[in-house]
Amino acid sequence: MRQATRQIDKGEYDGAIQTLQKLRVDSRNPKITVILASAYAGRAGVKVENYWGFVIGYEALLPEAQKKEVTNPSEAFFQPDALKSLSSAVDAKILEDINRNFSLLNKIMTRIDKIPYLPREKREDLQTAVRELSSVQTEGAALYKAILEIILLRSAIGDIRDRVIALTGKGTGPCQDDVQDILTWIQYSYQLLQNLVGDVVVAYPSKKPDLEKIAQVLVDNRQFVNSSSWQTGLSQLKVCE
Amino acid sequence: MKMLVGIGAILLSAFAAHAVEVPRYMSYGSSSFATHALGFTCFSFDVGADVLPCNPAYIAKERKKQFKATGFFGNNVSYGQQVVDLLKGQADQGTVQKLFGQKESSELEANAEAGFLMETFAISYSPARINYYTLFRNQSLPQMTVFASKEESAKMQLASYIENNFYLGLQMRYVHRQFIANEFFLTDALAENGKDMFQSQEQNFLYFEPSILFSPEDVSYKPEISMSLVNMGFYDKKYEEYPSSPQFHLSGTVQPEVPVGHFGVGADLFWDQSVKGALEPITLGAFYRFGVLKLLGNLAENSNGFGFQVIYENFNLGLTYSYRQIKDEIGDTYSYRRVYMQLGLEI
Repeated sequence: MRQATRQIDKGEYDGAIQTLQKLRVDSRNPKITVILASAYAGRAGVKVENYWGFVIGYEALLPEAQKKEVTNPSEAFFQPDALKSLSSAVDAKILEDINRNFSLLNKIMTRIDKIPYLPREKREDLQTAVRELSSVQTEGAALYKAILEIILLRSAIGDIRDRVIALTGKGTGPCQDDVQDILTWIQYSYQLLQNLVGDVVVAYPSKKPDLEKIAQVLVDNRQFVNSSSWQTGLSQLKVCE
Repeated sequence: MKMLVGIGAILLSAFAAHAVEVPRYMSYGSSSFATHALGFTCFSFDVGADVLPCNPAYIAKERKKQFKATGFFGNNVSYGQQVVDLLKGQADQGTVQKLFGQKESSELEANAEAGFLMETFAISYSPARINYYTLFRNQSLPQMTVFASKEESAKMQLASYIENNFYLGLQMRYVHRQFIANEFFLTDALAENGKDMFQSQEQNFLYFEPSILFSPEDVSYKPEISMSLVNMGFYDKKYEEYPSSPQFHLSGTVQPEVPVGHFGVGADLFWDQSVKGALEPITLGAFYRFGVLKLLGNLAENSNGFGFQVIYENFNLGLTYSYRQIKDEIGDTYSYRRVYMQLGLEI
């Protein structure tokens, strides 16, 4: 393990991953898996200075964010221009719901805005790291997994923001594929958030009651996004050219 | 003494692996001005640099009653400012990067000791020996090695002339230590039960460290040969993180006459369970004393050091530089340089 750690220190992530995978054949030590996950994260470009600021104060982050409503239009996911473009196709109430729920993400984003956006090609390694950590049931591993999930979420938010901005500037209004992509992203984000809350519960067991409330809100919202009213709205849109 | 309850003899025992790798000179509890300046040849000479000699057999040759006290300090902790910034909430990415990007371990040692010496008998007491060692690795998910110990110790040395220029010595050393020795991931420490990482442990250890010295008086170049067994004894609790395996030393010196001052040169050959390679056990050392000045030095395969001590009336001041080199599992070599200072009183 020390050899692998030295390799990570030197930026030799491929070598470290190979070393750790070989080690894991003969040992079930969960530490190997955690270091392996860190090697994947390192190869994706994730280092401690990217997430330190966010991790400190982590305990207070989610409960605080949940209580706050969207009062400032700049915190909304769909900006006024986007609302106008989409209102012909999707119920305005649904869009408002998205905006309100998005305030939670915005609060998180405010705290993690120093975390760099991770390009899509790097995210595969991070997803592998998250999968590896799923098999380790320690508080520290759960916290690390939550951190990596937040980085994934932050990057996904970056993608969709770009997509919505492009959509609002399109002039022709959204088509079915545009909105379907957004719906898929919303579902993915809710899944990430649910996993993240689950991991935070493991890392901070005493926060379980508060976090379970958040988890329930996320489940409800995810079900709502999957509801038939969305599919109805989607079918009213024109087919993309 | 409850330390003798459930005694575990560790004679020639071997620990296969340690949870935390701590520099040997820290875990042996014998770090001092003389051990850094002379290395293991400290067992070969009685240069009077510390309160008590490394080799207890020399007490049999002590001719006058003395009271000695020393304060010893050395460190290379360079991240104090980063820690202060973190605690004040003023850290930025650069601070965190600098803190966790350090490739070298950080170490601090401090010791205060006072003792009384007379022919055949010596005692000393150290109310606090502080050791601190940290190592950060893996910037993706920092793995932190933390070792911190506080030791209170008392030593007694008994020695006697046997016959035919042979002297026999025994050091009994009682150490009560509190220590934290842990290796963990940053996220383990930040999670809710992370405070458990810093729970201290305690150990009581009674060491018996015998030595035998051959020192013919009638030879002009004063040859001396000694054998010592150190770090051997009984403890109340065994900790794999805290290696305590016996170490054997075979030492030889000559002190040829020089026109001015006193000069001695010697070699030490040690053996313990950690020895790797043919050259590692060998240490060469020398000292030169002229008036108020003592110069000391040592050279080994992976370490060296030199120091000087200036004596002014009842006071003395010593500075020593120590270098060691460690080769890791993948063949990379790391160098460590330290400077230690000692202030002493001798009456």
